[in-house]
Amino acid sequence: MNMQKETERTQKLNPLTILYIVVALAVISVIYDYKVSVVCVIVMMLVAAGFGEFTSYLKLWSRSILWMCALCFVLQIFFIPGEDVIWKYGVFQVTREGLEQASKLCSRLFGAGSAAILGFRLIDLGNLMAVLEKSGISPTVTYVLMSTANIIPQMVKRMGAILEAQKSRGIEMESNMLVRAKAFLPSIGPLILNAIVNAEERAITLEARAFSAPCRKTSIKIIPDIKTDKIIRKLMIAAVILAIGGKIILWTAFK
Amino acid sequence: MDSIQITNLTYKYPISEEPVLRNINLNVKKGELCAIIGANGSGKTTLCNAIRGFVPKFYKGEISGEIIVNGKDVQKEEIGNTALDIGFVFQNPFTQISGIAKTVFEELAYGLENMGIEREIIIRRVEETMRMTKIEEFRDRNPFQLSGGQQQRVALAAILVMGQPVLVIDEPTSQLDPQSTDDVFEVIKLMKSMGKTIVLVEHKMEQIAEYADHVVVLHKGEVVMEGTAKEVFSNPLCEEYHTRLPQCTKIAGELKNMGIDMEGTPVTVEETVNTIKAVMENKRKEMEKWRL
Repeated sequence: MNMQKETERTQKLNPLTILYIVVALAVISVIYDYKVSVVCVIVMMLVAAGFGEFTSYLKLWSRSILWMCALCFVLQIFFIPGEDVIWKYGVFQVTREGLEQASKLCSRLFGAGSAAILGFRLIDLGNLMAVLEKSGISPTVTYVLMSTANIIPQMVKRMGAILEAQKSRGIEMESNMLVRAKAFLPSIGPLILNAIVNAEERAITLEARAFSAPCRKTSIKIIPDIKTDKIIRKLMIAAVILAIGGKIILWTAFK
Repeated sequence: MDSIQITNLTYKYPISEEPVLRNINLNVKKGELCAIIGANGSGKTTLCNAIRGFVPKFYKGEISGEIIVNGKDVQKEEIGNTALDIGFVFQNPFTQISGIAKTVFEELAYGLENMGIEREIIIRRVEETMRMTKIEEFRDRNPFQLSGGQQQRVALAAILVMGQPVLVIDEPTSQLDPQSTDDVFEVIKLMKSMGKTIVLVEHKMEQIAEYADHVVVLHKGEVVMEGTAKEVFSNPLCEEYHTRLPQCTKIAGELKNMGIDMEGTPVTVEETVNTIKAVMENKRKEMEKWRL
């Protein structure tokens, strides 16, 4: 049931088209100021809603990007030095330069980060890789991307197991920062060694599955690429070109 | 006809001081299940890697001698080409999952995609293999979320589906529970019935006695014994090479030591039952004669 739902959702648009949308929105929000970024993020929300992913996107977005931007903004406005002081309390002071700098950086982070999360929510990585492979990207590249995405949850699981094992051997894990820092090395060491050993075996697995066989590879995935996809992709390219052109014009005009 | 011919094979790993394989000569007939047994460190896994061509291409080191599989010199072939002739399954079920498939179905299809098989044929072959190896129930599950035994069956099926005539299987059950071991051997039995030539490294002697046509004992990198399961397990030298005898053979040996007159050395459950039955029958006849 779950599978069916997933395929239905991803079949709406070709993954490459979604990638184009995400990249275009990210580029536009990065090159303009915070007002445009906010508009772009609203558009991203609408796109997510269009795919029936609004709630899940909003949840992920508010937990990550929103917090990150807020934190980054606060740090920036207090620590960037400047002449024009707007607000002051004890050692803390906010300057106009700081505020400008912070809003510039955070608006970029806001736009690009929100776009990245949208891509993560909407694009089926497997389908995207299949499309990329078809368009000539090396299977090694797609393999590295795909397996990283799939193996990270396994590593997290293994990390949990190693932590349990080290705890049972008497390594203190739940205490102050110093104790935790001390426990870090004996936990991360086995994880890395394990990953290295597994990499060798996984290479053998790939060889056993004819990864380097001198054949033209095929794929069982059929990923539709309809007229709408092509139109949207062209629109996105046009939008990016227009945005960059507009920025150049604005830049030269104000200079 | 010999499917695998190994002549004077000697191999040394880059960091080992002594050769791990010494002057190995071994022939495996087409369609035969050849079991390799021996203590840990006797060179079983290295021999498997040599047949598949990972030694010395993947692990480097010095090699001499010749390995011919289906008429092709493995050392001269490209490592990618060998994949089309020899299937390879090893111990650790967790690292035998390709890591790029979201479902077991895709996992099985992956090898065929790499071989450039047409989509429709892939789907048909995967369906058929899943049915034969009885893993249909896992079809849409994430291979990483299966148990070790289930993953090992998926790994075997993922190789079987590729259709290579020669299969090298290195300790497939060493990390599995008894039920999973039986399941894995069901798949191996199926592979054998399909006429595959199989080289199997295994420590479970009962299964070897049951399924192997040809048993090879390795000791410190050398072939020290060779023959049918019966020939090898009935030879008293066998235990000196740190291999264990099948339980049945042990029981028969103990009975013999107790003075019970048994014919031959049984190696499988069936043989043992028959032998003991025969002994009891003889005893019964003797008793009757005595009573008369």
